Amino acid sequence: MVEPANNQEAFKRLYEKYSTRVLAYCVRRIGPDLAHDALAETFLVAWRRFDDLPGGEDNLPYLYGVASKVLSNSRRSSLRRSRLASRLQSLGVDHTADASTYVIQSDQNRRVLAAIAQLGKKDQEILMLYTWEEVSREKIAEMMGMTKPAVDQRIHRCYKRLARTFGNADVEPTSLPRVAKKGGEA
Amino acid sequence: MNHDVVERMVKAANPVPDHTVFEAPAVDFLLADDERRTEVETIQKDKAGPEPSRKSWGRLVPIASAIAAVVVVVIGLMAITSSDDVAGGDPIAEAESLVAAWGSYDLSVLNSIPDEADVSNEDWHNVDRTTLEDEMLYRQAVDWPFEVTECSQSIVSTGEGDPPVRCTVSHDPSWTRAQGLGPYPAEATVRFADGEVVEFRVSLDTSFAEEFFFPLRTWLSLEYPDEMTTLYPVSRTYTLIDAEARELWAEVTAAYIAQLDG
Repeated sequence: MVEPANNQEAFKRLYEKYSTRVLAYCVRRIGPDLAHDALAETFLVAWRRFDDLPGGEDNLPYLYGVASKVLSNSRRSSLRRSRLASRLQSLGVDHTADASTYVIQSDQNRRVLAAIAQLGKKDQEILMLYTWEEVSREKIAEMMGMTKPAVDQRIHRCYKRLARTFGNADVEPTSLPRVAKKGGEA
Repeated sequence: MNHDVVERMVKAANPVPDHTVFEAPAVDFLLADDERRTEVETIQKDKAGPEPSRKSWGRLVPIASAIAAVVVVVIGLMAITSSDDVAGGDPIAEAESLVAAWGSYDLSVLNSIPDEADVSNEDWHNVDRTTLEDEMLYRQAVDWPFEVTECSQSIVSTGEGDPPVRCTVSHDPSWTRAQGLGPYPAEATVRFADGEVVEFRVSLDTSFAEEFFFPLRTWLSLEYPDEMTTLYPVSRTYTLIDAEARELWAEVTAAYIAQLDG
């Protein structure tokens, strides 16, 4: 089974354009150790369903949706669940695997992440898509099969809950993350 | 605390605020080009080279990629035989015998490879007796035989030695056999020079990886996440076949087939 060469080239372009974004998406949710596996699985699905890709700028939300399903499938494994729990715990912590690649998180950011982890899974996903992946609310609604007002409401509810949590947790709203690139200083 | 502040805090806590810090694996690991093959491996008997490390060779596996859609295992053995069993014989029959032995894990095929065979370099384009033995034992562990269908000899020699003998081969590993997916086609090429084997290649068809290796890898990543580094190298491109990996491959293969049956 050999796919047409033009499909291969188009797929390569797709991968080159979006792979790091999808990888970041995965790292944000399961940490770096398993993210590469998820990235590979995501693009494997994309390759198999290449003809179904929406095209243009819609490809990235589509890939996020695939990655979400890949991660969701991963969570079905009990082994994976326990690993995920630890990943979520460590999400905001320097990771020993390649700490230089990731944000050097402050204690405050860890508390913010811990608060996010207390939200419902769907709320977490919507919040992360909006704030971290910078997907528009309209697109999130499309991705999640919801109406935009429903997404607005979810985000509003997330902020409200987080504000309540932050208000009780002595979190300063002024911190900025420090980003360290490979081989560079934080 | 208003929502703008909360939003800013959430953004600030983004574990990966800049995706460009990542260097994604080269696309070729997912999608090799039209060759989509796992390279050519060559042993040159008289070529000097460093002794390959056991660990290194354990990672150099002529087994289908978990990612690539085409898997071609090519094993080139240059001037490796000094035995009489091919000299003067019918090249087609000898080639068939060689491929059949390899396909049925008959380790005596290794006798045709001299101990002193050197490896030209340390990347995985090369294979030595140890690797070939590991590869055969790996297939034996996961019950992955190859059977020769037919052999014929080209009338044109395109390289060193006699015209190559090409054998159509089929294979149906236990994983796909349990699902009724196989068998899959493959092709083996054997070339002789002066009655000795100078080349032995086996190429697998792409559909095999598409239908099985990818789903298997996904299943393994879910069920055996802690064992993935034993089963696959960091590149995830090939399977590992050293002794530890083989033992685990046998175990996970049994588990995989059991859940299919269940």
